[in-house]
Amino acid sequence: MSEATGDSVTRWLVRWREGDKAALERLLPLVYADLRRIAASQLRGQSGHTTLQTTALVHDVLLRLLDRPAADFQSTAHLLNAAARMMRQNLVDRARAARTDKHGGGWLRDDFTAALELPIPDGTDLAHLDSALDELAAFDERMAKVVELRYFIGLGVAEVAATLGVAERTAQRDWIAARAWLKERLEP
Amino acid sequence: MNERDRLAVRILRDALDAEPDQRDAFVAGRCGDDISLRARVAALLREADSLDAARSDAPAAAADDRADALVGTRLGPFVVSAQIGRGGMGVVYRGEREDADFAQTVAIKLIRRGFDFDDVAARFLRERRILARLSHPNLARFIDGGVAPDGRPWFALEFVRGESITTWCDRQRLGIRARVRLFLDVCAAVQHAHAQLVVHRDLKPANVLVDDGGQVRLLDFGIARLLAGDDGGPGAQTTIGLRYALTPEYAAPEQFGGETAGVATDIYALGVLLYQLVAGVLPYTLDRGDLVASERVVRETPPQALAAAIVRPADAARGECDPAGRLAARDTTLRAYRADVRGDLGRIVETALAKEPERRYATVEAFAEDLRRWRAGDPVRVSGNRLGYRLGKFVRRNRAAVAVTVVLAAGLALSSAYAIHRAEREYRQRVRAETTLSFMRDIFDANTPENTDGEKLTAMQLLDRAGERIGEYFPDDPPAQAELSGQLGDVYSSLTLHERAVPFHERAVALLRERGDRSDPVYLTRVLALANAYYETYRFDDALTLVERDLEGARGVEIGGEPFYGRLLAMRSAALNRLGRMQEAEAGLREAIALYQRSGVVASGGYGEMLTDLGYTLLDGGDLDGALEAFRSAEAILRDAPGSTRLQQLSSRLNIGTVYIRTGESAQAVAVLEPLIGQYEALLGASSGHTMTARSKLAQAYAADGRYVEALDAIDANLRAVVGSGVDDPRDRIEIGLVKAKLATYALRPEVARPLVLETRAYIAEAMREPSFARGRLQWVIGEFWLQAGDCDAAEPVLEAARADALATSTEGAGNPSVAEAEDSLGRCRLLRGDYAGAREHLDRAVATFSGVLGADHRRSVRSRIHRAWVEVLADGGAAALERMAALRPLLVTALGTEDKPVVWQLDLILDELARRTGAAPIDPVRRRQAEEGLKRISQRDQVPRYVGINSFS
Repeated sequence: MSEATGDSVTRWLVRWREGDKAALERLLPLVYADLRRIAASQLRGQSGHTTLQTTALVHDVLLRLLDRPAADFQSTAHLLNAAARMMRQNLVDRARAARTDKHGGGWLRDDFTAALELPIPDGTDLAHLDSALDELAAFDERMAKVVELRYFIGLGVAEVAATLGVAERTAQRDWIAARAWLKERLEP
Repeated sequence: MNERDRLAVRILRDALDAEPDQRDAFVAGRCGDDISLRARVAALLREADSLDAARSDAPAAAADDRADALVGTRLGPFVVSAQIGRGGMGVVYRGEREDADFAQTVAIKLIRRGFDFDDVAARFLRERRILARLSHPNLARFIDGGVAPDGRPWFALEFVRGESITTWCDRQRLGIRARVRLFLDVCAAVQHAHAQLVVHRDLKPANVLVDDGGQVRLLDFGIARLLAGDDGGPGAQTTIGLRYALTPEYAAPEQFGGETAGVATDIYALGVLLYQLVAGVLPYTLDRGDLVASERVVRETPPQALAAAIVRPADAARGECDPAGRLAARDTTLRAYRADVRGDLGRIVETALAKEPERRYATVEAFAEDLRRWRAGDPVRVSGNRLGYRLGKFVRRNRAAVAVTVVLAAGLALSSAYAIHRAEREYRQRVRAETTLSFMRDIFDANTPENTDGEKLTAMQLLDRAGERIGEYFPDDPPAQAELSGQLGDVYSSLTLHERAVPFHERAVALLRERGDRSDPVYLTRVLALANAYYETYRFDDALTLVERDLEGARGVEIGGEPFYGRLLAMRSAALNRLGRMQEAEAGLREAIALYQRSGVVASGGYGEMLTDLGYTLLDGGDLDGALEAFRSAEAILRDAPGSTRLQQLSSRLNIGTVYIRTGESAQAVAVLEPLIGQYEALLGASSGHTMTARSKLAQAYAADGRYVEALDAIDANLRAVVGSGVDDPRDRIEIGLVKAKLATYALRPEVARPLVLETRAYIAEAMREPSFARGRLQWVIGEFWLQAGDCDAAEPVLEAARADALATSTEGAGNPSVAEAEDSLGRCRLLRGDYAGAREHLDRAVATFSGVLGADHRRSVRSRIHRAWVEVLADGGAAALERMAALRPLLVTALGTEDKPVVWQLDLILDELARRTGAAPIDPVRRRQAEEGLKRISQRDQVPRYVGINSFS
């Protein structure tokens, strides 16, 4: 994390804590960029001062968002899984809210979502995706997790594999199989 | 998701795990008669395949700054630092490897998409051992390779800063003779590779660089072969060849017809390169865009004479210079140039560029020799490949020649029928046999496809076919059939294809047996080879039956001065050992040893090996003192035996060190093993398997001695050796990596252990599905890591799994130290959770087992007793319980012989903390300081790190 990002994360965090709801939209993309860096450094087996600092900041934000006690995140994998889950919830809620006015629930690239840099295909119906992922999770939890980490944090396959503790090949095949099914399921 | 959905997705997911060429059959098998399910899965698979092909790991929205998502990521041991080029093969990156004392820059080639990656990856894994053997000053070294996260294969080559040979020569204004001189270096490199039986297949200026020091460096040797494929049908080769591996300007005429590249095509490409160096243009004018027209030109048009080519107008599209510029770049005049190239040089180039492969030079050596003669002014031979031509004709006429070649190969591959030192000798023989076979494959594939009814044979098919036809070659000559069968069996055995070797050895034994002489040395040698093949295929009963049948006949027979009866006895013991009949195995070896002693040939390597086998048998049976004595005798014999090798001598000392590790005499183990490392390195190199084994034993000894820092150094040397060897077996890396993780955990450095633990966990899930001792060990280390990290949720399941594996592979049930080790760890998990009853149960079992097997005062027993006492202090909190725990400290110090060890420091700080908590007197402040400083030192931290209990000694 560069000093500049660190500063702005802290600044938005302070404003968000002070009750500025809009600050969260500025904060989350920065936090997610950091999350991806954490995942990448975990993959590379690097850890150092910067990463630890970044991790601590991200923890702080997420803990507050999720209103959880600090002991909850025992590992980076926990952290990433929770963050993916949280972002999924957040985005689905946003899409549902948007549907009630005009957009129809699709995955849209507004400033916020664009800043998140998530690889969700344009036009994906997030509410459908959400329920399809629930179905998939009931059948094969790991496949659903792979999709969640890919789509909702934007991790690469290698990082997903490291997070889930499986071989890259396995994560890749889970990813392909899940997407083939999702494609069929979401585009009838 | 309904049931059919579930089924379809399950089958889809499992099909992705199947080999690509078996997916359809797999799907058909799982779907049975359910046509609609099958159609559904097929549709999903098509979708999956298209996703796989189109996939990009970088999110679409962030295309710009993450356009090259690879930069900054890791491929194998390298961090990708920048993209440095794009080419037909794919993208080229610069990669860096930086260890503490080891920095390396490499060029990483990531192979373009567009064909079957799984196939390329598999072939690559097969062939890279051969590539890693290439080592020549004019070759950019092949360093490593693997498969990127997205499935694309990658290769790391030595990073060469330089420019293409043609550009460099022009810029240096090198004259014709100097160019030929430089070209001879190219030939030397190609020749070296051909001698290792690797052909380049894609020689062109872009792959022939001159580096900053003016040295020729060839890139990408053997890579094209990996991509082009030898094992598919002829059709596949043609399409891949045309689509991919063929650079039309440098392709030999026969390659346009889909023929496999070989030595002859490399020579042709060298001819084009030489032509270009001399004349500054290609031998023909080709339209790159029109492969059909190019083929016609290359196949039908003779190359323009060198003397005329120099004045050919420049092809601007190819960046050629005009004639005046070309002459200037050669520091010559038209007259002088023509004088140089008329006559012999022209004929040499023409010979290399001959349309028919058999008219070209047979070898690069012959080509280079003519060029040297030309430079020296001697008459050149330009004979072409007359021998190859004749041989080809001969082979076509006479199929038996194929068998002759196979027998020659067998002779090359083998130095003797039976190897006691199976592993190392087998490896050597396998390399030679592989080499020979791949050579044959090149020769037969490239030069004489006609001899096989138009069907190209792999070397293995050649061998199989020869085997099928032994009877045809020698219908009335059973001894010759036996000889050929036996030799073919030996070739298969050398390739470690013992399954295939068995029928040939059986046939040889049966044929010779019919002759009735049970004491014939040839017959007995064959019996031993067959017994060995049975042994290697886990048919221990068959090996035993066979040897016992012929044991009597071997009485009194001497082969090479040694009593053959003794060798059969040793073979029998090996089988008995594996059948669990340890006492009989031991008795047999003792009888064989006594026989050797009586016959007076004790100063022999074979005798020393028998003592070594005896040592292993005793070690397996837990008789450590007996094993030590046997290994010591073996060491003494091998030290002086005339036929013994240096390697045998070193191995015998390694065995002694191993026993010391087992007996827990770690200081002695270190003393024996420390001097061996340098000797192994000097003898075999830093990356040899033997050197690595020795280093890992030494690391084990250091670790048991509490010298974690030295142990980590030794393990790091091994990890460097694994990656530096260019032969990167994931299993090696995982196993060494986890030893490192264990040591790092002992040294209280979780940051070092963590990535290794994660990698191993993934590997186990993926590749180790059956219970095994190794898997149990790996899981125990993972569990101990999580335990030390305070994460019992993660630790307990994996420790339970470790215990289950240890139980499953234990011959003495629960009374096994590996089981006890898992119990101790599980006990500490329970303790950490405050479940004292559970902790007592686990630790009681650990103490009982360790005490029963090793004695109550063995350090491993004392350690578990300390943990057990700890439970009582925490459960009860009384001063008496703490005193009982503290009373175990002297036992630990006695068992270790010193108190200056990490485990004692760990104990002291636990005692100190417990004392403070219970209000008792803390430990002596000097002791406390020593402990704190010691633990800070090994963990390289400013504060004493957290830990849960005291380290294991295993």
